[in-house]
Amino acid sequence: MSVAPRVGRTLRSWRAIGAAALVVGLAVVPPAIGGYVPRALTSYLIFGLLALSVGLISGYGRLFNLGVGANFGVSAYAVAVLSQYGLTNPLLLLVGALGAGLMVALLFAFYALVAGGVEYLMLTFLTTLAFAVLPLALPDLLGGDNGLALKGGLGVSFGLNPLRGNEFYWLVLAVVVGCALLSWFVVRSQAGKAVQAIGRNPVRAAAMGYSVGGYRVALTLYASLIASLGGWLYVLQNSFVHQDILGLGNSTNGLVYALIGGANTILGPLLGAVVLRFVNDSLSRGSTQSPLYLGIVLMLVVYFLPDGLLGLWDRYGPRRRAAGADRAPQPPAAAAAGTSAENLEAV
Amino acid sequence: MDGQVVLQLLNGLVVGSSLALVASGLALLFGVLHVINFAQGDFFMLGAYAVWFLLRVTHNYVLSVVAGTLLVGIAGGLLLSLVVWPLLRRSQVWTLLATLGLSLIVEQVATNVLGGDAKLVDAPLAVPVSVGPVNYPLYFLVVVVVGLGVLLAGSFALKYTKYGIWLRAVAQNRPMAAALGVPVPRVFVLAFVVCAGLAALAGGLLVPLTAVYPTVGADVILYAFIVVVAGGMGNLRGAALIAILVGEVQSLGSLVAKPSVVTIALFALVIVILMVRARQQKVVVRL
Amino acid sequence: MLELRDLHAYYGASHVVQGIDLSVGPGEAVGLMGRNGVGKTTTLKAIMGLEARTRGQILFDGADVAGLPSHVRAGRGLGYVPEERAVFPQMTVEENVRIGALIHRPRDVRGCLDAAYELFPILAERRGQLAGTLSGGQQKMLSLARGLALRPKLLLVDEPTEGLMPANVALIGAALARATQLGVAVLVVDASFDLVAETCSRLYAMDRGVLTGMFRPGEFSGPDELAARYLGAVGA
Repeated sequence: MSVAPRVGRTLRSWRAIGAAALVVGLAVVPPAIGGYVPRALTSYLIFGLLALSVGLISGYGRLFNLGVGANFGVSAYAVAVLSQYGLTNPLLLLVGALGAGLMVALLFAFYALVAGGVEYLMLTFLTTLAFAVLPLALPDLLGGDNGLALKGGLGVSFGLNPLRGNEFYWLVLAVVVGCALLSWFVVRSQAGKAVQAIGRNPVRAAAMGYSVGGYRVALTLYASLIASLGGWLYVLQNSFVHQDILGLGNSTNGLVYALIGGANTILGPLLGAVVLRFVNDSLSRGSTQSPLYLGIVLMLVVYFLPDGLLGLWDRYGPRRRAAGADRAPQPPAAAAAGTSAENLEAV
Repeated sequence: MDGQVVLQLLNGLVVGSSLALVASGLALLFGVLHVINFAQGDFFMLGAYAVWFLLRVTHNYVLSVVAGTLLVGIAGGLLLSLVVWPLLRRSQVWTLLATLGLSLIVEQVATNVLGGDAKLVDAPLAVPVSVGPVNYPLYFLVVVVVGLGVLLAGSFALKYTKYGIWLRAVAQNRPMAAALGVPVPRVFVLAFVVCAGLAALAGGLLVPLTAVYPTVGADVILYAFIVVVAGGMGNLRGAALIAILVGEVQSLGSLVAKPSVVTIALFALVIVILMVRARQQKVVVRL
Repeated sequence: MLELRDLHAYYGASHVVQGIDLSVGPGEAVGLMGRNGVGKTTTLKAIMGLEARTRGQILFDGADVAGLPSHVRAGRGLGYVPEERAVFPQMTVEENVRIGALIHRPRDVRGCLDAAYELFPILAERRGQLAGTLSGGQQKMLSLARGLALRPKLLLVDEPTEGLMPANVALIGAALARATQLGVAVLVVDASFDLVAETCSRLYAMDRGVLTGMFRPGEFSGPDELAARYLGAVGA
């Protein structure tokens, strides 16, 4: 027992150093490489926020939500619509994005209060499908199936040009790192632990006195904040929104990114988004095979990588080997069955 | 009655009865296995392609539909079984993701192999029949009859045939069914095959109406899920009735509003129904 | 008929049954008693092949059935009457009885139904009623009737008298006695010492996952003595 905590502490501080190095590396390296690299990474990181939002609500909170894309998309659309009506103050646009996303979040929060498991899943599923149709129903306001352009020039993005220079990239990186840090603190806080306990066993948590509904609402609103930030940055980068980002496809993407990275972690969804979007971009030069790749990746995750890439690291990496000697013998097959199935078990 | 209204009423029956087939398959599969089959739209699409292909070979519509349904039902059902089987011990979430992944793959492969262009098929029995103030193609009236007939036959089979009883037993209490000797694995495969087969039948029947292209199942699956969710996930009779209702609302609705508006209204209605029903169950802690 | 050799059973990660050896002879009625939570239900489920993960041998009618799926074990003559959720709620009483009959005695479905109704007349009265609308006690009687009507080689029965009125407890006892008369072996778990003492020729006591003793009912004056000596608590 004496070796493990010391090793654990060392590994944890190594993790912290590693994370800091990663951030510094991300700030310095892509701009140094130049070309399309910062722009591509900007896009990947923005979808990383979507994935993080899904990871928080479905992974930590076990509220299996197929509609986070709607939140992301609604925020993006809100910014575009407001800009069309002449509102171009960047801070007000951010507020608009957050507010619009909040409305979707309130819907999801309500679902979490009245339903659970499959019903919650289907409600979020139907909601995202409904939102995807909305631009067609209100074409004058939302652009129909042509999409909607962002107006207002560079002012909307604080004067930063998403297509030239590295400032916009650093803005996105700062937001992403900020969200990751904040989420890390939230997850480790008492509230975060309560959320995880509720996710694993709501009945027991309720019996212990936790307000299951209250924590779920809080989680939904927090995850919405992140998704809304993602949507806001998305429209700033692309200067354009289309109904595709509102629908099931986008929500599913977010889920797959979170799963493949490891839905129970903060870094996992971000990693998953970057890796998958990079792989997708590399493979589909000119062709539109991305649904096929996504489907294949999804199947691989489901059968072989239910804990995601970071889960592999956890299971076979250094910490597990160091602590292995201390473990009591486990009942047959209980260990393997436990870990992967635990991961996403809201239903 | 106004000709337009009668026309849409009939269209609604056509859409509704086909939707009922697809939705019943989903409801059955969910009831028996608690599996949400996101690939159902693809079986609809494959059923359509099968009929288109067989028609070119046999020039016999009935034979094409029957053979297509059996082919896609059995092959699709077996494929689904293989995909879902290793995941049955884990939480439902994983089977859902697996069928979703399957759906993405099948759709893209179909596009690659069969081409993204829409293939048109003429309706057999293009004879117009007069129904009130309008003339309606006989074929589509036959579609309605076939759809409703299959559903009624299915309902009868569930109640009185051995496999039907087994399906219901496994759906209502799987461990007890197994403990009584019901061969649960066989029942599972049957459920998969029937689910896929119903979708394939609907796809094949509607080919003259929708044409054949790789994403033809997408809209159907959307409405099918609305129907199944509104009816209560494993409720077969509810699914069938609500499907007809949704078909009528969609068709009649097109007289007064844009299709997208009707769709959203339907979504909103179902979301409200679901929330009301969930509240009524008064469970203190929602799992 | 049934022999358990060093049976271990796990429920999730917990080691519920920790090595038991138990036997039931053909046509014999054997009881299994113990406090709540000691592993009696898990033992029965392990024998039937439901839920629990097991280690050790489960010899039924000479062959080791550990690892075989439940429906195969049922096909070989193993019957099960669970403690709860035993009926098919959206089927009628008659349909419930028929399911088993259709599988095991397809040529004598009528005979099975008659036998079940004879044991529990109240079921005959309510044969067209949906099983889910029966009272808890009636559902228990239905599942026992269904199990017995199939004439299995061995019937596993879990807490058949729980929540029943004394009059119905007597019916249960009569049904179990009838079973042994017909040559059906029975392994019954129940908290009612009287029932077990009347129907069983042998009795196992279980505490915290292991068997603490095997004896004949006549060896004790009553449940309290049994509990104190073998069940690890005062009062059964």
